[in-house]
Amino acid sequence: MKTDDLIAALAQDPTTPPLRGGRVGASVLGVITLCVALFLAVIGLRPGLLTVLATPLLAAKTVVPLLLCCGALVLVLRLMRPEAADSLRLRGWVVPVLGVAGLLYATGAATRARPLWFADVTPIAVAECLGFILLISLPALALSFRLVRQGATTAPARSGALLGLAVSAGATAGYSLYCTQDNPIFFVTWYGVAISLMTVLGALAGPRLLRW
Amino acid sequence: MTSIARHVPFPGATLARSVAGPLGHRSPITKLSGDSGQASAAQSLRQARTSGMADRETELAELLRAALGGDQRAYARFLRQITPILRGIVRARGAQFGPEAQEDIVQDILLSVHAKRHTWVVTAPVLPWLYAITRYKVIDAQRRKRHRSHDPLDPVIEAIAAEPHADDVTAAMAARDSAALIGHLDSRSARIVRAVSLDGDTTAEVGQRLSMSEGAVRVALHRAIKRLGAIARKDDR
Repeated sequence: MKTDDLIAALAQDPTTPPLRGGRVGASVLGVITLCVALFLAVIGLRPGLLTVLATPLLAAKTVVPLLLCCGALVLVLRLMRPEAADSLRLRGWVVPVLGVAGLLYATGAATRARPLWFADVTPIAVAECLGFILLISLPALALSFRLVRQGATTAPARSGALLGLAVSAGATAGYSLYCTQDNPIFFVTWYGVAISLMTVLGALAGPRLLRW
Repeated sequence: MTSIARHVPFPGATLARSVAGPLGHRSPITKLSGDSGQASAAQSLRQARTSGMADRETELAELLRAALGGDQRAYARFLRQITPILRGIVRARGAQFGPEAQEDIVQDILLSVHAKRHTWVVTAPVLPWLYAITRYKVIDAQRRKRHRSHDPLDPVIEAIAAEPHADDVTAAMAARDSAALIGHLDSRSARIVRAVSLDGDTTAEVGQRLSMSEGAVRVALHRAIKRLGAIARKDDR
């Protein structure tokens, strides 16, 4: 086909509404909330949740993943614009995230006798933690990819990784409302592993699902 | 495809359309209406005077802004004006491609610009946006070339063309494959591909049957074949 004909044909297409990042972001959060709500509706909240959330160390189980979710989501939305990949710097985010994780580890280590540090690490507890977070994350990630496809990322692997991070961090925040493992050494490790797994999955899926 | 009702979301669009004369020597200040603010208008005027690049930026941004507001003529003009820019970049970055393949890449970029035009933020510069899309598509074409020595579309097209020779076993198999591939498309695209590629109808005939313009049929066919290529590539991975 001649390029001029192509242009003439393209110009006849009806206009499309502009991309609204805020709307996509709200939809992703909605998808995560929906998956979390379904999970909690089946399995229930942990007993005494309000008291738990009033304890800073335990509130961190919910708040830190939630912040991580929002931070990563903002970057995902920014990357939906093709020219954004050039100016995106991720390194600045690594230090604060690792810093918070380290702080939680230190608190856990300081408030517990050494033999109790790894007392909670049983195969069942680990499988429950990882399994449930992945169970909530997977459908949420699949749906979120569909939403983010509206954009035009020129860094699909990075977009996918950040989306995996955002979705799984949100799912973790939701899961923490059920989880009764209150040893930071346990939850930072296994929440971290679950989120990392989903981030890697997102990075692998991104180039396939976000290409255009 | 029918022309859509023009709703103009901001006064600038109307003005830009009315002054859309031959290119060059148009003061940006006349095209920016009151709501955009005098300061930014004066600023863009200064920039436009200092370099031709800024002039191109202002002009293209205005055209695309008007286009997104529903002005088809501004849009056609925008696409025509970016085409030489794209050709230049593709020639410089894609020296390993022949002239025909380069033009294919240019068309691919135009289709991408069209498909993703909603990702341009009307207040942001348009050239960085355009260059990012161009770079992405050129790299994409280079990656595809590296991954396979021959065009992945060819077997699909050959298979579709080969269907009438049903006595040839491989052709029949290939045709069945392509029928299965076409099954992945939405029903309208599938009808177009079948009519044009299998039944040998002209795009004009198909357009009449589906009450689409001939151009729209060609665009749909182009896209459908691209999608078929993507599906075929995924299958043989």
